[in-house]
Amino acid sequence: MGHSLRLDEWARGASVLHRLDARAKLISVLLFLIAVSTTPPAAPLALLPIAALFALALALSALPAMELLLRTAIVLPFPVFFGLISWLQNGNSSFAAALVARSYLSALAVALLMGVTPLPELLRGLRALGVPAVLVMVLQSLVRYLQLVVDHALRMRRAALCRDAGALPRRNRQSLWHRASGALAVLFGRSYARAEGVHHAMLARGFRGDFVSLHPAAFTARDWRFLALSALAIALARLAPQVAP
Amino acid sequence: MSLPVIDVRGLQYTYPDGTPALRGIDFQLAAGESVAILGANGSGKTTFLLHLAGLIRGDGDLRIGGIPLTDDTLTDVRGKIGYVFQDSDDQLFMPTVLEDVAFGPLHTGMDPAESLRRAHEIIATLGISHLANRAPYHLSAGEKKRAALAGVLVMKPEVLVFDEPTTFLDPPGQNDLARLLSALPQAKLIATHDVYFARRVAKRAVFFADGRIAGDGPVEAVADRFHWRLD
Repeated sequence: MGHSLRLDEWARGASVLHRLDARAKLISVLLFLIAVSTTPPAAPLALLPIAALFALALALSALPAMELLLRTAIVLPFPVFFGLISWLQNGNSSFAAALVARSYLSALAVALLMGVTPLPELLRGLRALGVPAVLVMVLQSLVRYLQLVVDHALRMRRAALCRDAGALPRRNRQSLWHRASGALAVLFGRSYARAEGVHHAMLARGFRGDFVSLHPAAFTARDWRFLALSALAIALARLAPQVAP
Repeated sequence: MSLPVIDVRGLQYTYPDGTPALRGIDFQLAAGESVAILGANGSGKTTFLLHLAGLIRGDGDLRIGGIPLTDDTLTDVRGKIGYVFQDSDDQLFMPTVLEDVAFGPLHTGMDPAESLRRAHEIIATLGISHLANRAPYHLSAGEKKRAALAGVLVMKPEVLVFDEPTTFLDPPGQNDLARLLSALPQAKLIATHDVYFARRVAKRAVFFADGRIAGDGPVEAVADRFHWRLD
């Protein structure tokens, strides 16, 4: 929850990246992700020019670099786990390192995008790029209600701790799983009730299935320039290791 | 005598699991009148209120602002009813307060500029202009309630329906809400457990019991008759 609130706070900044149209940023990040994912799988050094490009974007964003790097490190356990498995199976440390680096770099790019683009603009950008309205609305509701579901989950956890002082799970692992599965079922039930309440509220205020945007976005010459430059830079960063002697 | 803004006759509703919720409700609300709905949990208060906005449909005649509630008139009827839900988190689903308030006008065909103008106007009236660009989940319970109310008032409804409006509010927040409600000119229907709050915002009360209206009269008299007070 704290992470998304911090991103919200960052997104209200005023750097050169903040001022760009969300569509230009979305397309650039998409190109960046394609470049990252198409680097040779066993050549972590090939990611260096792309990482340098990310560092430049981070500097332009005026976001607290160290905090962004640390907060985004939350994704690392997964690629590190799979990297280790791959290393143990194939004995190829380069492949494992590239896997971790690519995953981290991709997550950083997405975090940077969210840090320089308020969520409403990001969703409007997605919609303007042709993402179906229903998908954008699901995404919006997901982000919005994830916070409430996390709140619910935390309240339920506190209630459980109050009743057994946290002692039960340590003594009895089976009981822990039993209780966790029960809590998940309750959480699902509550989330369903919440969704129904929201749907009622939307209907009561005139919603008839089509989502109308309040701010028609405008794509300016500055956005075109940014898009062209970023596409060129990403292409060069991606291809540089292949043409280098 | 003018037509009632809410006219309900013989309303019955049974939940899909077979539990009867409403067993023949007759109710009228005059223009500008405020009525408190009292009654135990599960007595049918919320089910009744949901019917008024056409969110669930039972058997019987419902007229809102003189319009009979049917599939064809649903949009018109919802334009006349402003429903403030018990939990403001249900109601505030847009990323910012301003966008949430503008949601209703925008989705009933108003152009974006006019929707925004009306949203700004209503949040200024309710004293929450400073919250315009805040995310709803950053707000206090009192601020959420005001934002939810703004999202309803912006539609200029004839009738305001409140489901347990004091839930989650501290005493100053309840005072604040009571003052706000008393100042609004619309007819109001307020489901609440709080007799003191009911007395502040309404003169008349109806008492729901077992899906029926068991009593109708001045708030004090209804509360006394059904022993609806703390000891």
